[in-house]
Amino acid sequence: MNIFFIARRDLAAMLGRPALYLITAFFLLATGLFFYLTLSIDRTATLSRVFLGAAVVLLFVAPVLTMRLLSEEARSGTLELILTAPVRTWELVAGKFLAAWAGFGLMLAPTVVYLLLLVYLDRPDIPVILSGYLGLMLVAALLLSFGLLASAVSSSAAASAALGILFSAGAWVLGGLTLVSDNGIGRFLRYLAIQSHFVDFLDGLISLNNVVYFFSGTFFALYLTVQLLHYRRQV
Amino acid sequence: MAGWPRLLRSRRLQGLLWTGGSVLSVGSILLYLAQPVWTTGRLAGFWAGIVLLLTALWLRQITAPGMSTSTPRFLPPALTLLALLAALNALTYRYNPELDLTRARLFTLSEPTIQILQSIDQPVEVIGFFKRGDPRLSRARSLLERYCRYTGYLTYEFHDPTQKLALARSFELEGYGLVFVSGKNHYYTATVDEQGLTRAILHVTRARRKTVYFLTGHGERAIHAGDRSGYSTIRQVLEAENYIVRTVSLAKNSLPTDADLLVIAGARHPLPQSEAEQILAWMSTGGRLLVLVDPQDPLPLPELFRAYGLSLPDGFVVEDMNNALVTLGPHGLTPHQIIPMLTRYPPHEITYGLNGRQTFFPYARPVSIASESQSGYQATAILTTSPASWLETDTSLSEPEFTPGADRSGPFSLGVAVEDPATQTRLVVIGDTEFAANQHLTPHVANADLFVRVVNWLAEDDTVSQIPLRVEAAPPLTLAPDQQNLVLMVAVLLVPLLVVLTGAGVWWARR
Repeated sequence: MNIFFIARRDLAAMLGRPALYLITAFFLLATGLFFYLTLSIDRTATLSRVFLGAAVVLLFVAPVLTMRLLSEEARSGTLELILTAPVRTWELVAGKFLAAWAGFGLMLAPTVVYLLLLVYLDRPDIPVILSGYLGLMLVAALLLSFGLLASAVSSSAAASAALGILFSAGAWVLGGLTLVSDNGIGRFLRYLAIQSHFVDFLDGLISLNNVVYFFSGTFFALYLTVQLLHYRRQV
Repeated sequence: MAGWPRLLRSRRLQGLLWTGGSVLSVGSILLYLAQPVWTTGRLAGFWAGIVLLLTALWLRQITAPGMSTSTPRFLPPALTLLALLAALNALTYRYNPELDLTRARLFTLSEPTIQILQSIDQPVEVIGFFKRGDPRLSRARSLLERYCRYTGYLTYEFHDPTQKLALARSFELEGYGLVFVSGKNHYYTATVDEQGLTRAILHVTRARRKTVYFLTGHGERAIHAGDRSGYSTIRQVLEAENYIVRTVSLAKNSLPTDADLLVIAGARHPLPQSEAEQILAWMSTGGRLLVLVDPQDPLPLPELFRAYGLSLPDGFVVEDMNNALVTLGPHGLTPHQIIPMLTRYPPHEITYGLNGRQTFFPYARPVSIASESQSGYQATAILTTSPASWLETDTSLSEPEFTPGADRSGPFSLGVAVEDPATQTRLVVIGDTEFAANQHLTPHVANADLFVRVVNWLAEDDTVSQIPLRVEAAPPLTLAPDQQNLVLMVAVLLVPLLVVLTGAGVWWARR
């Protein structure tokens, strides 16, 4: 149960730092504004705009959440300590990933207030909203694993955050290629884009393919992270 | 490491690559976020930046002291894993079970559609013309993707009509929409929902062409007459829409069994009893009928109109200056108040997507729904004049003038569509015949389009009407000012503030 031990340790460390609360407050301010706009401009009892906005904010927040996880330990020299400890590398990475994911879940938790407000004001389609939460958590998993990978590549926190943002934003904006053309390349790029798999969740549609997409992306990024650390251990 | 040229090892080069790569890629992403369109320049910038960054990363790896230059050992298994995951994605892309959580079941195709798709036995190509970012584009794409799961014969592609002008023109396309092509048939629709798409597929794959009969023998408009008041253009338009157009005289023959639709386009004389009875019998068993009646003409089937609760008052509709057809004559712009012009239409399958396009009705009489449907059928006005219009009952006047008491004020309905769900009978009555005459079917007015839409709706298979119209009926949410304030206070102020306070508490405790 090394994974959960590491996850708990890292989560506790995260919760002990005021920085997390500032990031969370910023995140919730943004989602709150999106929520207010949904009600006052779109006039619909949905949270899809909130989730879409949250995902865009997350592109920048996720790498910041993960930037310290590995690069900080590398810089302070504790990474060597951990790497030589009787902990398998994949346990370390999985633990850190879970900590970051749970951390984001905690950041997102206060948005349940929006759902309660919607129930109070109107008759929202609750299963659709829950599907949106699921989609956002999957996007978060993918972006956090990207961030973790970036964090393993570089030993500087700032550089790994920048690299993570670049990864994530790159994978996101591929979605802008919706009408480049419908030839093979266009379809392939659209398939790679995060956006095109995320929007179905917002509309209340859960498809196996979309879940598989997020799972594969997250798994592969975590795998690469483990292998990079291994590689470091050897050289 | 000495093997590497000094230039490649130079920190300055690597720094340059890092900076250039970041500026290019981040810059193009920022430009995209500001205005979400991918131009070739931005796309090139983005990828060029990525290539520069990867080069910098690679140079750093291979030239860093103590780094091995051999391929890292994890690459082969990583590539294997990548291939496995790609295969898994490809598999679920093809076989993709879905869970539709929406209340209105927005993503579940209805049974009639699935049956129609499974019965297709010839290739159908769909070519969509939409501008980038048009919400109908993604809706059409996701619907067609779903359609393709039930048939291997359907393919689709999308184009920006402003870029593929020649292609769009080859389908005589005006505006945006989807063109369905199968064999020699093609069909255009701007209705991007399940009904519209299924209707289009049925239309192009139907083995049997539908037949429209125009009744003759009572002074009706002639479909072979090429003069200004003839209907030869409307015949050609219908033939282009894959209809067989014929005339029929019920004095000598009975109604042909292959009739999908009967049109009575302006009968000047009343119908003899025997003919009327034939049509009435047909209508009681799911017949489809279009009746066009001018002011002052006798009603061809008064008992039918009565049975469906329709009344056609005497007189003609006069519009105010702003809603009448205006022509440029020798004395400048002249409004023709007896020619109502419409640009907004009540919601109905026939008028779906027609808003904003002009139709006009020279010398038209109202068709009103006298009594609400008492026996289960639905009567819907499809053409309505402005509230400023009025009904001139004195047809002898040379210049119409509103006489309070005698003349009624509008709005009036000029056309009504009736549907009896029990028998699948459909009837459309329009209080004008001139609107579809040759001289008025110019490309910039939608009169011919309206006629085709009416015929399409009337001749439609029953299956299409069984497909539920899936519009989310949720009315817009209206918040009272205090409710808006509540949302603002809680979501934008209270929640973030509480988090900041918790953070401050943590910081305080740690001090």
